[in-house]
Amino acid sequence: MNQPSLAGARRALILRRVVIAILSTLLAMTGGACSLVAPKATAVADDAGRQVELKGRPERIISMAPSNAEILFALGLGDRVVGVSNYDNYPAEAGKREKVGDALSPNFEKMVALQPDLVLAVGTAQSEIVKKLEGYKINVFILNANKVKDAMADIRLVGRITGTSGKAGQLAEAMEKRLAGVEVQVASVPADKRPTVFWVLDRMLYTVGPGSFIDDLITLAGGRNIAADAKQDYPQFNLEALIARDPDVIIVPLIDRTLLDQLKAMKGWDKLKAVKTGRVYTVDPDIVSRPGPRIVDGVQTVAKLLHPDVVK
Amino acid sequence: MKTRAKQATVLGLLAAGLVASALLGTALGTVPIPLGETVRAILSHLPLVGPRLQGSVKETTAMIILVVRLPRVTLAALVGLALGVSGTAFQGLFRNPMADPYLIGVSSGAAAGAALGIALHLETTVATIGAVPLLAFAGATAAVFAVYRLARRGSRVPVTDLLLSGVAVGALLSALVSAVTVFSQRDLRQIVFWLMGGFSGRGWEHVIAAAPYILVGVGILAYHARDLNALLLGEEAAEHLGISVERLKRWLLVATTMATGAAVAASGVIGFVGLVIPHAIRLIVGPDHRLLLPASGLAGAILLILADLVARTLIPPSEIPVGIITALLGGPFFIYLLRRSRRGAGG
Repeated sequence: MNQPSLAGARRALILRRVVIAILSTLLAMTGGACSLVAPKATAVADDAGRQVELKGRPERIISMAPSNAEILFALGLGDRVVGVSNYDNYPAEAGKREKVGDALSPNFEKMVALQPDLVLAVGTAQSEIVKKLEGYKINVFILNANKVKDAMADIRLVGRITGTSGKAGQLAEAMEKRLAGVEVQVASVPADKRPTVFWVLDRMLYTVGPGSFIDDLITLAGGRNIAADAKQDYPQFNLEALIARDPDVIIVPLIDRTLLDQLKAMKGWDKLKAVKTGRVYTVDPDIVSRPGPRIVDGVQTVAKLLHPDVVK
Repeated sequence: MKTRAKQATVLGLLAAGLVASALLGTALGTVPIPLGETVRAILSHLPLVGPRLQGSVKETTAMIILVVRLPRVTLAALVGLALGVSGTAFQGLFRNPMADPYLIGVSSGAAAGAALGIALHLETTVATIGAVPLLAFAGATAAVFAVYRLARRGSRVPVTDLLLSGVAVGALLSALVSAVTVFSQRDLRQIVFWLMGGFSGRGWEHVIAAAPYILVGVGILAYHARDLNALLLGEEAAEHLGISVERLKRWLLVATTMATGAAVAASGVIGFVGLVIPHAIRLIVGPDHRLLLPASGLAGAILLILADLVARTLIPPSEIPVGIITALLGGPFFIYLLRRSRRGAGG
């Protein structure tokens, strides 16, 4: 008599577990890991600490993340990119390449069929995927940027493994110069005078916690993240705490075009200082969350919003 | 039958517990607010005393207490009440200690409705209530209706068939939710919120929307307490006592669907409360539904207020889905029930 209800409970548990697994994988995209392979003479270490052996210059590259595609195209390697992930959309040309699915559940058949000699993966969450690709004898190189400045290092790294070191060096240097310029301007504002910032990811008030890539971006742009004391990378922020900490500035990356309207409908939203003083800003999510060639544009954009009279 | 005195004592104690936990839930939170300030904030919005206190309370404090905390505590109490009473009614109807209010499709129907609404980015609102809760409620109602129609054998609805069609419909709808989850990863967090349940960001509008359904549903269930007692003897015996069992079933299904459907629409699928509370209270007060129903409702309300308090204060300034807390509390109890039922103790 109790069998069916148990099956129901089990079903619910399995469903939950699946969803949580997907979720934690997504959230773990910024984690760190290490799998050490014995170093070889012609090997280059990737961001996950794997020694990747390279046989000459890669001619058929698959990008598994938007930031990777941006780096490849910026280095003039666009015509060597044979496959991209579903979210790769910049430059427009990248979006026209063969789609291999998204980073968490790529289509392996398609990837193998494209005969890549290099797959640029991201993070460490893909380790399962990486193992599978290695099993297919495909060369996988992992990029993992936890901080804004890692983006420049990654650009240099991609330059090194694709034989475009010169171009990559110039690009990274130009970015570093611009970033240093922003940092100098921001440095003129004393730390305790810097605006406090709340970064809204969605209507559930998920935000960016310490250790997240965007938390670093906020700091570089001269803001103080009000969720800096949270325990997770991407915490769900408590509405009480938001009202009590009453940030100077609220930044909304428009991942979903209706997000701002949803927030405006929230009880108490109009009582927040940032709303009253007109300091709720929307930004293009792609330029602030991708550790690629446009990330300094992202830092500069946010810095201008936070310090309109200082950052030019 | 136990004496009225015991009934009064148990309900009195639980009512006191409810008041205490509601006060605790309002006084405590991520932001520390002195007790006196909390009381003043509430008083300043009451007629008569209010105007004299205006200005003595900081605006943010008043807002945190009245706009953020109070509706959360109220909604947690209502949802706990709905789940506790519905769970008791289902365990009585199915004569099975493992029955919970989500048994026949309410949760999977609501989750499917909500997931669709989230994935389609429906932004229509009806009287400040978003499309997602409305779809959740519609999904819950539709799922139960489908389960009922599937289980019908002529003019009768055998309980076993009800269970089996509940499992079948639930499996279908869960597959739908999984599909939506896979295809709209951007909305994953919101879908997960529905599957885990929680009260973050809930306000008075949710309380106002859910309260009528929950209170009417619970009222109907309470009205049938004697009939549920008769059902303990089995359906045939209840018929001999002059109870129209099939009609009773319909009423119980309508009432539990109203109450739990509204609860799930307001706060997602919060597990274990409807399973664990009726069972625990039955061990304490015995099987008489006239006492068991209200006691389970009060206990459910207390548990959810406290679970939500933990969910929002454990790791400030972050929130945890309240379903995790109830499952952590309920899980061990569930295991204990399983072990006990293996030893042949029925419900």
